[in-house]
Amino acid sequence: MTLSSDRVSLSAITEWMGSSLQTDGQVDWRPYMYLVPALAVYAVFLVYPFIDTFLLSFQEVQTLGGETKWVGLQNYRAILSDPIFWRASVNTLLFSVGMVFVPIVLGLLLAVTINTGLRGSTLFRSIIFIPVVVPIIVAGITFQWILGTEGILNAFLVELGLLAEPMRILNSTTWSLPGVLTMVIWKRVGYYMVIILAGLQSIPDDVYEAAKIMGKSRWEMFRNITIPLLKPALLVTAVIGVIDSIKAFAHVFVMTSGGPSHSSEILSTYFYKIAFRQYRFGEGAAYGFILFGITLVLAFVIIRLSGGSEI
Amino acid sequence: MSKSSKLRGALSAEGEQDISSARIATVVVLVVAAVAVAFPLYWMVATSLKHSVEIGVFPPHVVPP
Repeated sequence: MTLSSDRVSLSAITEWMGSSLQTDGQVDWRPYMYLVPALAVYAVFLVYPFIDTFLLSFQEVQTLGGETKWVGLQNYRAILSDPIFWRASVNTLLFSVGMVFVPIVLGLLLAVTINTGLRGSTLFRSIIFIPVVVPIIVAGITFQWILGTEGILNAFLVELGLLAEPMRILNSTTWSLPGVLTMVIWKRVGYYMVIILAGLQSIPDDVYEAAKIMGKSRWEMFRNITIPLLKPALLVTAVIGVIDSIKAFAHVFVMTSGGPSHSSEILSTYFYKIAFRQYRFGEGAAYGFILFGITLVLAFVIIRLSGGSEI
Repeated sequence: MSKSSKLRGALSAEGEQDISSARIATVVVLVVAAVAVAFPLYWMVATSLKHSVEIGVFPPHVVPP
């Protein structure tokens, strides 16, 4: 039959659909044609670059599109024997802890204090949430001003007599990563606070009332009621945090761009430098696949931790 | 402490006092957090009102002219 008539009756469609389930055991390919546009987009923009990058990771590339040489696993070996790569790995781990654990603890503290229903607590809630909507570049540059050698923080500490002379933060090898993390924590506390606050408000009051009658202390209530019942909310915040910390790039790139001497380098910034600053595309591709492997393992762990639910 | 005295403690004036001291702690935590969070936001606004020469001055002017 044809579908060329401008009005296709329902019976014609059902007849046609029925004909695709032919009885002679042969599969009708016609329905699959409808998948072609979506699959074509998927193939061109996802599958092809993926395979091409995978092949690139085994080649030595001088200029992109130019001559290449197959070198086997040499690119992978080069990356894994690069001390800066390992430095970046450790920094990424520290960065994740600073981006996930610290703001969650602070966010929990703030959520609990705001949840006591103090008058004006909505004002505090709003103020603490504002940094979440500040663009990352703006936040990075503002913290550069504040933490800089001639910034307000140094001026303040010198004025108080806590420091004899301005301290180097973003251009010191020990303090550059904590400096970036200050901005990250500032930016994320409000986000976690709101999620945890929603979790807190879903805990029924009856449980606390019962605990109060049993003469439990505030700490006991927090420890034995609030924390267990907040577990889903805390898990969600932790998962979002871990995912965001793997994807993090601009946080470090704006403030220190990985420096000084790679002291604040994280995996994503070093990846960018190898591929697009030093134009080592082959090694960059290998680096990309190593990152892909790390992400895959982390994703597996996260899915197992969450029991496949909640997220 | 017996169970009944615990119950009394939770409901009596002693309990009220406990709540008010907790309230002070709550306010302190919130104010410190709000100031720490709001300062960079203030600094963005303050810097935006300064002359480009004034931005680099050390020690920085807390209030723009």
